[in-house]
Amino acid sequence: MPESIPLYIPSDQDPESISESILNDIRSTDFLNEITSGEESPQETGLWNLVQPVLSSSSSSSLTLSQFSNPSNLLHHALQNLRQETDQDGRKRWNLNGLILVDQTSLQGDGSLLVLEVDLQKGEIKDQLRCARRSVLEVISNISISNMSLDEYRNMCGGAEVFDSGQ
Amino acid sequence: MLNKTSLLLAICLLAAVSVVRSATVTFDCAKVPNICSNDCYAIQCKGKPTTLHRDSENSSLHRTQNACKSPNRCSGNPDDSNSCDEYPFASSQEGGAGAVTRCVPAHENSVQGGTLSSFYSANSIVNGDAYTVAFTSTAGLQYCSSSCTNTGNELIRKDDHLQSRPNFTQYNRREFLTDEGHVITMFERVTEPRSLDSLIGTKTWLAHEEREVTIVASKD
Repeated sequence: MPESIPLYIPSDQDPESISESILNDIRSTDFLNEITSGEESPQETGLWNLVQPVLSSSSSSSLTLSQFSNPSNLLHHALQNLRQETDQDGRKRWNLNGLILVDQTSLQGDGSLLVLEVDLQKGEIKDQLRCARRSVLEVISNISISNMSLDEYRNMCGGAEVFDSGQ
Repeated sequence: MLNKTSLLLAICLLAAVSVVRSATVTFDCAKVPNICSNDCYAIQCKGKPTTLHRDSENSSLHRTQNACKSPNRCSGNPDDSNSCDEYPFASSQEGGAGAVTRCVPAHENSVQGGTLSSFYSANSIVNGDAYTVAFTSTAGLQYCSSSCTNTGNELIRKDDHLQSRPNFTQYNRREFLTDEGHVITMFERVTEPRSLDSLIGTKTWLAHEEREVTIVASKD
């Protein structure tokens, strides 16, 4: 199984149903058609399963919605609990160059998700940007390999609060 | 004694497997012409390697070490050059200091990143795995032919540029055909003539179509 980017969902918000709904929104992006030039179905791309939910209630520490207001909590959790996780072949399961958070705004506001860019060497958050759900795959696929920074996406949308490539 | 021999044999087999796992990824220069130009310039004009090894753990560090800088040096440019591209890729062991950079359209860079990320996932390229970079639709791209005259768009950090000279590798441009008629451009070390012929009969990943085709013949 290739490395995945964690999608953090609060443990007190029916995480399993939320994760299904959000993953559907994330995967509805036109970006998948763009990178295949329409030659393959979106499900066949390597990005289809790039984002995977972390149901924090099943991890060693449970994180509630109120704790999601401080993204450092999530980074700490990821570095403590996900960094060494491996798949059955002994390969790293998670790519922690980026994290995606389902926070208050995601659930009760405009639905956007908070994307964190992580400096793994320093173990700290480098930058953060809200992204429309349909734009998350475009952004996180680039953050995961450090091909582009969140700052470049912020510039792309003219400094808008939410990056939405569909606008 | 037998155990030692078995262990040595196992290590040799593992080493052989890791060499064989090298994949070829082909970028469509009709989709990402500016990025292809940068990649070709880096390889053909600055001797950067065509075989890279994935390293996502240090990609963020590599990005800060090259001439893209943080915040990126291209921000504030017009839309046709507002994002910074680098070769070798930041997500490779060969990336970082000394990478060749160019200001490219942000959307083009974003699509390129998506295809590279998808290539890694779809082909199970994990940290340490090798892959070789190739191109298609290179017609009309200055640096993918034979010209190395820097028109001012290409930039390497000055100190790294000087340090990289002793390791300069020269390449010959070669073309191959796929079973579907694609013309694939690759760069072969001048010290290893015909070495890329070994790729005939193997598959290459068309990055912008997310599927494999087979390299069937050399065009030259």
